[in-house]
Amino acid sequence: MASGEGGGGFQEAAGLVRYFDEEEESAIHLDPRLVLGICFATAFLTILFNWQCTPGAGACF
Amino acid sequence: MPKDEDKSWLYNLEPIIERWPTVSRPEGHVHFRTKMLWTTGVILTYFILSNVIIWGLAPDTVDIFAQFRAVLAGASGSIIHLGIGPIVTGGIILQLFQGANIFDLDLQDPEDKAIYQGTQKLLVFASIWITGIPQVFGFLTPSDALIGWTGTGWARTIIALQIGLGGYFIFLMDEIISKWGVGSGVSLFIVAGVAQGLFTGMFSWLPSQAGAALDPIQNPPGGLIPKIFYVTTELPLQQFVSGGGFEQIAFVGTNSLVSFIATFVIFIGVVFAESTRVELPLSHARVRGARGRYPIRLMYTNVLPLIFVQALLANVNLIGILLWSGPLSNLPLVGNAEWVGSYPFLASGSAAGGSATQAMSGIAYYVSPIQGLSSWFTPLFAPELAQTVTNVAAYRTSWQIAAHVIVYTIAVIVGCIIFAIFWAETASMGPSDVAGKIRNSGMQLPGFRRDERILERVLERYIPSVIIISGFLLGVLAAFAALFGTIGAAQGTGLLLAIGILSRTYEEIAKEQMMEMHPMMRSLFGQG
Repeated sequence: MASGEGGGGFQEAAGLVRYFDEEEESAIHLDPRLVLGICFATAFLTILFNWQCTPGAGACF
Repeated sequence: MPKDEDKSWLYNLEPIIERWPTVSRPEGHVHFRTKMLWTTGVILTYFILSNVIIWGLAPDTVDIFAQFRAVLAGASGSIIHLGIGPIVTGGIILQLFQGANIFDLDLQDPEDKAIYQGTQKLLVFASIWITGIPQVFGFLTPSDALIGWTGTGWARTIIALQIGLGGYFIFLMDEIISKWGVGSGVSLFIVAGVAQGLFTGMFSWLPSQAGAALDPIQNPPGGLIPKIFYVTTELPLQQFVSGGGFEQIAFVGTNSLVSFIATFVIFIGVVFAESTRVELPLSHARVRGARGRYPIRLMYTNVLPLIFVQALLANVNLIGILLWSGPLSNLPLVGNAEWVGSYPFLASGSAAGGSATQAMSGIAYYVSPIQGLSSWFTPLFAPELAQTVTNVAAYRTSWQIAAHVIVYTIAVIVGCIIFAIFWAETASMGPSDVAGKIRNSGMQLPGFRRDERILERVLERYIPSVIIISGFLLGVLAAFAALFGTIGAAQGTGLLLAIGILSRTYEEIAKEQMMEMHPMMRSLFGQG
């Protein structure tokens, strides 16, 4: 961060105050690719379930 | 980390915050093209998720956020049903507490900032479940088949888990955009929803009331252009003029000519307000000849105050619904009480569409959003045009409808001003903060001593009044949008947000490109 106080890290999210630059370093880090991957996988699974797995209609798949 | 006596009590949460999962940050500068790629990837994922229906849901669901969809994003019945609601709610609660100085956090201190950010994440996570779990009791109910298979408790758990997971996805995607993309996920999702609404509002050829046959007067196509085409070709001229054809095109429904004109006016108004600014000339203290300008915008506080007001009203409505028919309806005095808010269409569920969650009495009615002409103009002045199942005139007298218009308008305008002042305070946008920021970037006012106090005095001439004007203007635009309606499910507020966000994003993209060309500019914009 070059500008020091006030300038750095302040993120404007349609106005919400967030400081993504100041997060704890010790946190568990998720790769953004992994996050999108999980989103896709969940979407795929849910669609598959909706399509193939009617509750109560016996075994799925 | 030493725990001092004067540290905020939020530091007690540190053990959790330290371990809370977070999206990793890019190392160093991310190229603009990479940013665009991530932004595109996320928006694509968002649209896919908004079409993934929750597994095991009963066909008849109630979208309790229907009136606030444009602001809250997400899609009813999909796994991202909650949209950005939890993020905004969590953020607002924290900001309000911070603004009232309850936490005793110094937001200039990096360590305190980290705690603030961490607490915000915990709050968002909590509000995902707080707003998600009540949904499965009566609104997003599990299907009978699922209940028969797993029992009621488990069936509800399965639905709640899917909603919660979707809510958390939105949260993570927002974080990806904020770190790797352009702008923020919150804004992006709002714009995505509004753009979708505008498109279907203009071009949808499906009948306005789903299931019923097309009819030029009773049930024309939903989109404005197909509607004009259908009504003008199906009706003979005489009937078009005197049989309600013209009125159908001009006033009736969400997508009328009036709302089209209003959409256009709002668009021009917002773009004009966004581009109006006072520019302070700056020169670099050491590098001679390096000049810049510091813009103080007319819309200084952005569209944020409006999001605050809307989120607040959405929560009033949510509480109203929960008290009317949810698990809380048994409470004495406030449970199922007319004076809090009654919801006569709630029982008809999805058949009533967005009107299912329209309060028809009590506090919830007076602060419920005005949905264009159908909320006041048609019931007051042209009752013969009010043909919807949820005609407000059947429930409210004329003066009550008028009171709704007045109360809502005042609530929005006053709310916007209050939140604008409040936010400028919290987000370090006051004169002294801005003066410090300019000084730190190595710039100064040409012809003045390089002194923060002088800079502050000059800024004090503009900033406090600009904050109030920007809140007021925002409120007026929002009220105008609500009164006259806008094309699509954009719902005025959403449109206002979307245009504001887009024009900001445009500037941000321009800034990004400037930074690609002149790496020195990064320090002024505060990015390493």
